[in-house]
Amino acid sequence: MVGKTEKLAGSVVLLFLFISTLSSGVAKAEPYLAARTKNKCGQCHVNRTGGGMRTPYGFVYSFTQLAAAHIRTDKSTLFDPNLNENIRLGVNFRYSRIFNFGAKDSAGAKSNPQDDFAIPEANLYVQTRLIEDRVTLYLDQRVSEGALTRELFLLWEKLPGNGYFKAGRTLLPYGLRLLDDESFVRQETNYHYDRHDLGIEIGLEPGQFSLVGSLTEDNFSAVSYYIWRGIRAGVSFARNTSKSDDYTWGGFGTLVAGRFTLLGEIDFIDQEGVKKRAYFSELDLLLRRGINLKVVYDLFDRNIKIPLDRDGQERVTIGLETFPIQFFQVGLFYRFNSFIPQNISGNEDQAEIQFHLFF
Amino acid sequence: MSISISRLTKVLLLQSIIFIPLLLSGCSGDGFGLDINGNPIGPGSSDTVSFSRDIQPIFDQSCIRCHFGAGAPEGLDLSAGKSYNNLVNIPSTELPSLDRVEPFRPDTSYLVWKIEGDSGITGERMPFGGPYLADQTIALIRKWILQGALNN
Repeated sequence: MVGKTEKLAGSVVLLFLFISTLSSGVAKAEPYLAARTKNKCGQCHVNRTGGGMRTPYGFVYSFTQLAAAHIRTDKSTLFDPNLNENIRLGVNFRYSRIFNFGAKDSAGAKSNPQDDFAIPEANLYVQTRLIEDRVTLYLDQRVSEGALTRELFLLWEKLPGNGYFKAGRTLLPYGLRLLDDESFVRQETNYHYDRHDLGIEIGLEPGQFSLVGSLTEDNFSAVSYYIWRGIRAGVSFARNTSKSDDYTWGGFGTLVAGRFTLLGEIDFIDQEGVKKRAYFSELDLLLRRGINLKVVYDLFDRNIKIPLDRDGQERVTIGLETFPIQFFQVGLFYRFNSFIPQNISGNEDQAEIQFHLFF
Repeated sequence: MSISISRLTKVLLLQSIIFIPLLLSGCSGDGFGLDINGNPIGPGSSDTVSFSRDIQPIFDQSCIRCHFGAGAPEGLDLSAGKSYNNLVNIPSTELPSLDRVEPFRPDTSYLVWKIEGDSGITGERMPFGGPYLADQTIALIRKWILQGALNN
């Protein structure tokens, strides 16, 4: 049995190495997993709005449902991230090799891009259960260069209506919590994994419904969605007064049909008097257990007063995401970037191979 | 047979996933009139053409002797306070497929065609009977449109 699983895992790795010579990508979005399982984000993540540390359910799901193979020797015991009954650990570590391909500007000058090694994510999570199933102290600490505390909050759950209350430093809820911070719907709305602040967050999640609101010194944002069978439809709204009185609002949705999962989001942005629009769509196909084919299309209209065929920016990402064995993910992506010709870097295509260790 | 159809469907779906987004793409901009970051060239800088300061005086000097009041030709009153609303994003009566002024697009703004005497115009080059506008004056109107035809 051991030999069989190792052989399978080895074959999968070889397959990816072979494919990596042909193509590769950069998208990292994981909400498709929530859509595919028809669950709310909080089913698999301690943070009820998604991202970061996994719940015991998410931990078990990752190696019983996500991984193509589960390596376990006769002598080994199941890895347990619990330090004791009350303290639990988690990790996300991503290591990438990014290949940047040059582009030419309108004058014919060619860029000379550099390939990069990168650690896009190295985060340690600690969940301390102060009162069983009710009160948790949660820490999401980036431990790579530029170390910082991304989230540190007290979480009170089991309030009426499956509600909860958070106080402390939190990510700000808005739209789909994509891992790809450079997606236009995240980057341009300015609600992404680098956007966290001190404040409070209140959630009400009875049944298949979810309503979450967050308030900080200069920001209010709210997200609401409803899940009906394989369909999820939601809306977001945000107001930010840090620079000027900026508003952002939009809608998002997911759809599951067999092995296909479709995600979409559109946002209307009013920043410092300039009205913008950002679009996101993603199609995932579960080729077989542990192997996901992903195609992402992003479009950004940075000023709706200017025709889109003047200032439009778009990206198409094609990739394979795989979980060959438990706690391990390999992603191969290729991204086509297209922007105005005078902006060379906005036209450089990228390829990425990413290794992700998590538990 | 059903297995073959199922496989064929899968292959087609797989190809669709990969190629449909590529076909949909093509909305990136040509960058005309924009800086390297995609922002309009000019607004907010000293290079910005002002409608009230630079453009309206041209109409006052060369156009409103005819294009004035309720009886203005083609309904185009170019007097101060009226001209902007009669020009920007308003379809031309002589060639309705073109706007009189389409922001950022001087080449497809009918006003420019008329003052340059483009072969596609209906009727006479403007100003009617001449003298026609100087090249520098036309260039200024073009620049104003290229900068977004602002009502500034």
